[in-house]
Amino acid sequence: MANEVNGEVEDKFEPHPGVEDGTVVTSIIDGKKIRERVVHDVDDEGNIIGSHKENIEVK
Amino acid sequence: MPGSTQTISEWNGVSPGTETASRAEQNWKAVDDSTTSYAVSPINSTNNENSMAKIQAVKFAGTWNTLSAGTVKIDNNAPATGLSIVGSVLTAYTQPTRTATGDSAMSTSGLSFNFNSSTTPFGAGTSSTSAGGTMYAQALRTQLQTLSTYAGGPGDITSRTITYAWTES
Repeated sequence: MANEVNGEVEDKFEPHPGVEDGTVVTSIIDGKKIRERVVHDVDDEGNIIGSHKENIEVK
Repeated sequence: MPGSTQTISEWNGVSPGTETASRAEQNWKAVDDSTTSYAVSPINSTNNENSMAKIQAVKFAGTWNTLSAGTVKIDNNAPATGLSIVGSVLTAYTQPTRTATGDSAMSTSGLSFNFNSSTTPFGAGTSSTSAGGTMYAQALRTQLQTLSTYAGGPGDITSRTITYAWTES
């Protein structure tokens, strides 16, 4: 007989993208190298609530 | 009064976009269409890739008097390190691309959307409407952006929930 476990599992909310704000990364988009900058999104209290990329240039 | 009914449409391709009605999924993938399986058009986090932007909107129909106070949110815009889901409500159609849309992290508290017209979601719209019948809400554009810091390996990411809410009479 299997043990029964009661409880809830919540998604781990980890808004930090793993790189510092302003980090430039090279993305491969349809075979082309695209340079993008990672920008942290913060709330009014300065907490990171997500991130997004901005395009820099196309090579 | 029976109230409104809702379906979700998707737009792809060159402006003004081709509508596919009654979408049942909103999978992010590397191609701009409503037919290709995401499984054969994946996004490579090792290469810091982004998905194709996804544009969908709620289409109201049925019998209603007023619609107002529209909002849309996602339950989690950063489901793992190296994964970001960005989004914005559009006032005009832009052909989807895989380069960064420039949108901020998709709101987990709610973006406001307006109600536009009986024929298209693309426009300024109004925050409330009493037009009745068919009514497109402004469209939501989302994109899954990845970084090589994602450690989840190949395969599906966890499912996300996008919730549209409004006031109706």
